[in-house]
Amino acid sequence: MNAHYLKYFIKEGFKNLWSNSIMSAASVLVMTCCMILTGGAMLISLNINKALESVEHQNSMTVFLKKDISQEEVVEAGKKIAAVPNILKCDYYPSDKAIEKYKDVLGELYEIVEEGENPFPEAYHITMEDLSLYNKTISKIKNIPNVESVSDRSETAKKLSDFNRLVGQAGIWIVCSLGIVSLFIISNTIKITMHSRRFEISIMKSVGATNGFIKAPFIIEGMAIGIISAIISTVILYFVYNSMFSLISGILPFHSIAFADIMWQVFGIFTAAGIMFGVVGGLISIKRYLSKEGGEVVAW
Amino acid sequence: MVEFRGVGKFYDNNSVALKNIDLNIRDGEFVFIVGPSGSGKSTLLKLISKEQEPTSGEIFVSGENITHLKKRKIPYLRRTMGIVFQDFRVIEKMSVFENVAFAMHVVGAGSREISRRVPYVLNLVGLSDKARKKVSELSGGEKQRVGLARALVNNPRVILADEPTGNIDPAMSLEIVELLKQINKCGTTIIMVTHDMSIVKHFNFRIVEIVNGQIINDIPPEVSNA
Repeated sequence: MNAHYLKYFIKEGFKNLWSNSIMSAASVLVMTCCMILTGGAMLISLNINKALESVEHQNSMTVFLKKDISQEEVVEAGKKIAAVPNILKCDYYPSDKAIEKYKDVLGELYEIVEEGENPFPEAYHITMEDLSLYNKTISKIKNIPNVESVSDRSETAKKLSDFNRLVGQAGIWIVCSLGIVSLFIISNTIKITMHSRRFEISIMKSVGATNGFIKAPFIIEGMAIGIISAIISTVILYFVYNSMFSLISGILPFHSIAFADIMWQVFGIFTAAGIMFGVVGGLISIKRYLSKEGGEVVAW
Repeated sequence: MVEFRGVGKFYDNNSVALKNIDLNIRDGEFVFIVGPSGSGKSTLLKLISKEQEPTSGEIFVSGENITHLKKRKIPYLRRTMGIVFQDFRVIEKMSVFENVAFAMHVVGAGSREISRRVPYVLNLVGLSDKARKKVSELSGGEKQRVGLARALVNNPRVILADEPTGNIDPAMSLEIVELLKQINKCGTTIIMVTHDMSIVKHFNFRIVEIVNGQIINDIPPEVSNA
């Protein structure tokens, strides 16, 4: 394709976009919604993965002992826990310290609890040397007499994984359904543009324009819709994500992903998807149009 | 230049447009195709430009059998032809220059070539002074001149004119055919469909008369105006 053709196609493509501005705006709107929802799901998923990583890398956990055991039994259990292979550190965590930790949360209840029986058991904080031996080490600890339970982070990880899967599945459905709507709207937008320019198309055909030459400006129109949607979506997502995470980042137990770090990747994915949807949507209507009414030099 | 060998054209509703047409139009000829409405005149032109396929027979253009020409080759065939329509088919919002240049854009001509060729063709059809005018400001005759300039600009070997004088007054009609005659003198084959016998009689060209899809008369130029 020479530069002359390319210049002509781009000019005509943007002319089409402008001449059919309401439908073009509708296409951009739907595609932008699709991208924002997809991008939102993608960002949530990335953050969950980050949280999972953070949970999986925490190699310290708590071993709770049975209640109503003697101090000797507590010490004995501590010695046995420390002797388990793969245990790097084993620190005693008395029940008094535990209740102290929850003083603020319990409020008035704290005083009632303090007067009565302490609901927290005696415990040990342990650190593992190698997390890959997690399950083996935990089962050995659970077999030690007077050990009640171990704070199991695999449960948290499992819940996060499940949630991540749910977000992923919801994301796929959103992309599929809104993707179909986007394709439909784009193909109709281009169909309307083609219909409004049918007279020019008929003249083009009469003077020997190839189908490729007729198609190109409409494909450019579809691509432009995709690129404009990608730009708008990235900007909206940037502001929404940043304002949301500046609010909740303080209460998150991990460092959330900074949008600035992945902005160009997000924009790249949006642009590629936008161009793909624009071109496919355009081709659907162009093919139909040219094989029907546009196939003839109209009304000759 | 254009040859029909036993060409027939039937439509889906079993109506007959053309029946067993044998016609040979030589290079550089000027031929009037005449006949009443619905006789098959326009179908004949549509078959030459490959807008329609014949049901039977064979069609040759410049020695090439175009009967079963592949779809992707049709645009290149049309580039060897100039088509002039009864309703002018000019783009009203464009200027005279832009309308003619549009046909050159389509075949990939560069801007330098366009700015050299378009004024030349506009001069040929007598529209040099109106190049920058919007087509909507022109008279019917002038619009047809724009259509003619557009058909000419890519230097076609044959011009297919379908009732080019159908929408313009008699004086202007003669001017248009006179222009076609001048173009023909330069060697371009002209096939003009018309039902206006006053124009046909005014010129001394070959006349092919079609009635009910059949050629009933083929009068050579030397006797057409006798």
